[in-house]
Amino acid sequence: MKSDRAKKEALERIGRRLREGLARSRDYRIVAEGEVMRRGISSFFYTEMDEGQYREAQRLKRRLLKENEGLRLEDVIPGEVIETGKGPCYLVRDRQSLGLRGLDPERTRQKILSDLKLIYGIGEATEKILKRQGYGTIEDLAGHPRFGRSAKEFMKLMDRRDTSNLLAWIGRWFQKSHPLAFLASGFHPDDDFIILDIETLGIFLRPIILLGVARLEGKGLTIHQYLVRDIEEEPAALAGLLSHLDGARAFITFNGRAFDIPYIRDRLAYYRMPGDLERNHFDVLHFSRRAWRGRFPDCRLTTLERNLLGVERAGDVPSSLVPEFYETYMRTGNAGPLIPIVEHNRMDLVTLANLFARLHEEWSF
Amino acid sequence: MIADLIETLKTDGRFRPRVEHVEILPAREPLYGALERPLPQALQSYLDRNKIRLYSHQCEAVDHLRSGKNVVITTPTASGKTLAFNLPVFETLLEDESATALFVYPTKALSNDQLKVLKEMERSCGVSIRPAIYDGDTPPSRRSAIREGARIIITNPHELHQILPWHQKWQSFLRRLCFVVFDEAHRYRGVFGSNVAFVIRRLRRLCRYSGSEPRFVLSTATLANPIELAEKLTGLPFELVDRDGSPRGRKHFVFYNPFFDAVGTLSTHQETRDLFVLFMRHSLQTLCFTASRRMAELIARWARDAVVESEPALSGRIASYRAGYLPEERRQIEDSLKRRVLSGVAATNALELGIDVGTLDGVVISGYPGTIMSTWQQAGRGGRGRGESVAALVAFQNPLDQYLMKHPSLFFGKSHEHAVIDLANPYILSGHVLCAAAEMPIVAAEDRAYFGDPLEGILEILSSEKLVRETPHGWVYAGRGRATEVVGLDRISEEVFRITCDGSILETMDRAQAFREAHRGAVFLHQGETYTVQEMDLKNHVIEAKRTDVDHYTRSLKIVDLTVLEELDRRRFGRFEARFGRLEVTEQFIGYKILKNEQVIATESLDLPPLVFRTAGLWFTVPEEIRRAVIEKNMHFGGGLHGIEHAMIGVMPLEVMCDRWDVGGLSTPGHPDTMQPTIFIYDGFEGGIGLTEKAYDLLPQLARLTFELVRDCPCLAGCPACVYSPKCGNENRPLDKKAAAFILESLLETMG
Repeated sequence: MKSDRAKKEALERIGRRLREGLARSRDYRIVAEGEVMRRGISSFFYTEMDEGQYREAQRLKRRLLKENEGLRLEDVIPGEVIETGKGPCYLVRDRQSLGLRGLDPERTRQKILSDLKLIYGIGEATEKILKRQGYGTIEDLAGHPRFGRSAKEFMKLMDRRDTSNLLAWIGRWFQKSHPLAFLASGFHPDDDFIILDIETLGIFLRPIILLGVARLEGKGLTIHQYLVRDIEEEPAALAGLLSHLDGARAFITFNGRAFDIPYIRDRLAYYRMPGDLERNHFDVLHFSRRAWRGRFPDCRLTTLERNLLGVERAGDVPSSLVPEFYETYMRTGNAGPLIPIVEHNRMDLVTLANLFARLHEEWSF
Repeated sequence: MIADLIETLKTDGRFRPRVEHVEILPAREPLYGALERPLPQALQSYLDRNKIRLYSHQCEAVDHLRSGKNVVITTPTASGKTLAFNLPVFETLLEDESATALFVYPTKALSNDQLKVLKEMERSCGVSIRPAIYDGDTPPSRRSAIREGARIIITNPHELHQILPWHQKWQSFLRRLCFVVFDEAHRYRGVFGSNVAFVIRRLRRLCRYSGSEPRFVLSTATLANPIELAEKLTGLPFELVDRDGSPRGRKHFVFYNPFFDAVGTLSTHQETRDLFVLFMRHSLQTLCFTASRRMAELIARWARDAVVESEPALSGRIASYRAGYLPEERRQIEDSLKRRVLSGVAATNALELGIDVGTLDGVVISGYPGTIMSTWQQAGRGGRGRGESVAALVAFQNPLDQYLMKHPSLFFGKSHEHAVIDLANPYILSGHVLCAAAEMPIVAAEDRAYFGDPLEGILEILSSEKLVRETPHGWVYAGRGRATEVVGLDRISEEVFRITCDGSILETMDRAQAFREAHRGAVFLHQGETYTVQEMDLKNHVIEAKRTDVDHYTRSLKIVDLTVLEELDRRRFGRFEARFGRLEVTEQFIGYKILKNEQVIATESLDLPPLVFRTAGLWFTVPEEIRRAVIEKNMHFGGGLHGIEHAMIGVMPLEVMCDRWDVGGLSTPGHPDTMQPTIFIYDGFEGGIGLTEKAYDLLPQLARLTFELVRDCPCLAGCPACVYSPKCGNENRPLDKKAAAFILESLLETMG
């Protein structure tokens, strides 16, 4: 008996030490104001924030905890429990109308076709000559002795609206963030798109706590947010996302190429859940950098939103504090700190849709 | 040349008394073998083109691997082990165009060396395998191409540990994985090996879920328990291939003892210089291995000075080689050795396996390198192939070196050295369970196969710390940050002390090691450079060191107290009783000695909190009648016990591969837990690491070695070569060598 207890004690000590070891590795750290820019070394591992922002977020958290003390999640964040093949999770639905000008496939088409450099063998100089000779578009080139074959091939893709191969074609001659690559999105009907944004407990390999999906429908956005009420619901939330993928042919994300999509892949693999995330991908971050670099202090989503859309978020939680807010919810059972997380994610989705439309205005008119 | 040299050593009055032994290992003809089935044409032509005929052990290995077995190959350096597993790996990769293989090497030099070989085989076979190294130095831009494209990936255990959480990115590689090769597997022992054993289990677990079940090939240097090591490392059954069929030239092995008279007129270093020079004067191209960078440079310099008047040309052909030289400098030395432009090089073990310097005629090893295995590896740098060669081992005045000098048969006979791996250390196990949970939810019923019965108990503890959560999908990781970050492969505790110099981190140590080696005032070596510790910040776990060019060194002193927590086993040896069990040990570092050439020049005190840890240990009690007999003979009983404790710890590495600092001891004429005179020996690691557990199994042999060491030491009343311990907190008092010998002898008599 004595030795059993000793063994248990030893194990407890080990557990405690592992926890303390992990506690020392934080996903974010606070930097005294003004120091943010100087210490850029480990920006990949830490998100640094200034002290003022941190304090404000802590005040917000305290207020939310107080206001929502004793309330049920359903009362704090209206939504419903749904059943998936992987168990239940919490779904928050919303519908948002967008004052968007619809995409105009014909304009897109003209814009792309007028760039002769898409044809093998045509550079700046040749293009100028060809234009002078009256070849205004790739379509006109179809009868050209030298470029005709390639032009016809390209037209075939255009006519079939084969976006994947068009993107690959464009990618051969231009950078991934080139306006033409973006304009290819114009060939997708609205319901091809899936706008995606996730909130996680860390920068890598930690649970996803909220999966936000928005679809363009009619003149607005239909938003589904799969909330993980307890980390055991993560597979269910992933299943929720997968249920939107059938028929969705293209992702719109903000930095999703580097973050959201690989992250979701890792989490699916973690749970050994099959799921094919190969889709055309329009990463608004890259296009925004190309379109607006230099116009604003940086190209973060909130910066673009403020400057381009005139949206000022109030009561927002900084992305890097999402884990801390969620952990407070986990620890206390008080859903208050979830409010700004869900709202933050919803705003990100709406802003993404709006920025996507802004890029079309910027580049196709 | 060699004959003349041996003649000089045996007859010249300067050397003769110091030559304790010369072993002649006769030349041996190659033993070729035949495969059960011929190789594919591409591989056979590769062999033909390189004029290679397979030796018997290579055929044996290929046959076993072809029949789907896991194989551990344990034949000497340069016997063609690499080819033995490269052939079946290539065969599989030729037949199945999607198949992949993972090669794990402990060092960069070996990785590079293997990459060269694989690339050449690939070219020769006209197959697309795209072998590549994937480690911490692989640029991020290349990583995904290697994961997707390479069919053989070479990595190291640390990188593998970091890779596993990213298995999604490795899916395609893992799914097609057919072979996993661990070369130099004897290096995976002790704390490092026990950690690697669980990294391998984590890899196997991920493979299983990816649908692959790779075969494992391990190669090791000669040791006493290759199968046990292989099976513990991987958790799989193994076939052993150990009958070496490669040819060998005649080799003379000289055991040279500066302390033959227990006094030593010249130091080991001076004697090393003289032998080094003697070898070169006999026109033997010679490699001289030293224990430190400083000595490599000094011995090269001394050797040059010794011949500069008489043979100025030779003086210009002596160089030193160590870590810290520029890569070009090192390559130039390697090249000059290969082209035989240089006559002699004094090197640290930075000139490790995998660095090609061609065949040398002579090797001088300054001080026993710690294991018989690595001594053979160093000696193996001379006389590769069929050339005649000579090697000399120059002894230090310590128990291991001296025991070997007096008992060369242990060195030349069958290996006694056991590589130990402990799968039960709860610290190591818990850390890897946590890592595994972060890779894929743990399902206890399935994953017990990898982590053993303690799995659920560990999961519950981790769960109470909120590091994992039991969910319908299994136990999932719920901690912050990355689990692999708090689990280091070369340590047990996640409590890390950082040693810094001018703001940059030199290395990290756990608490016990830091107290022992990096206390205030400690002088320590880091990559051959000398540093002195300025400040030790216990709260923030930061140690500040300064580079200092001093020729003194330090040794910490500790006193030990321990209590028995649990007795797990008991064994009788005649009138003695030996036990094995769990102990709680309190070590108090009370001070340190400052030494220069083994002479104490000062002793300083330290004020550190005690280290308390639980570990495994063995102990044995001495019966009353022997105590009485000792006292009747006017010998010091306590001094005898103390001497046995020191001597036994001193020779233990000959049976159980470890460093003498890895185990601790306590001897007392009466211990409250046994109520008898008792000698304890314990693993100096939290949770134990299997060292004393193995020693307990080998206790009769160990007691005999200890007795022989004490009996055969020519000193009068004890010396550093027998019963003195460099780390004794009691200043080696009391010690009674005769009493130690007497007690040991009666112990052995009664054991029969």
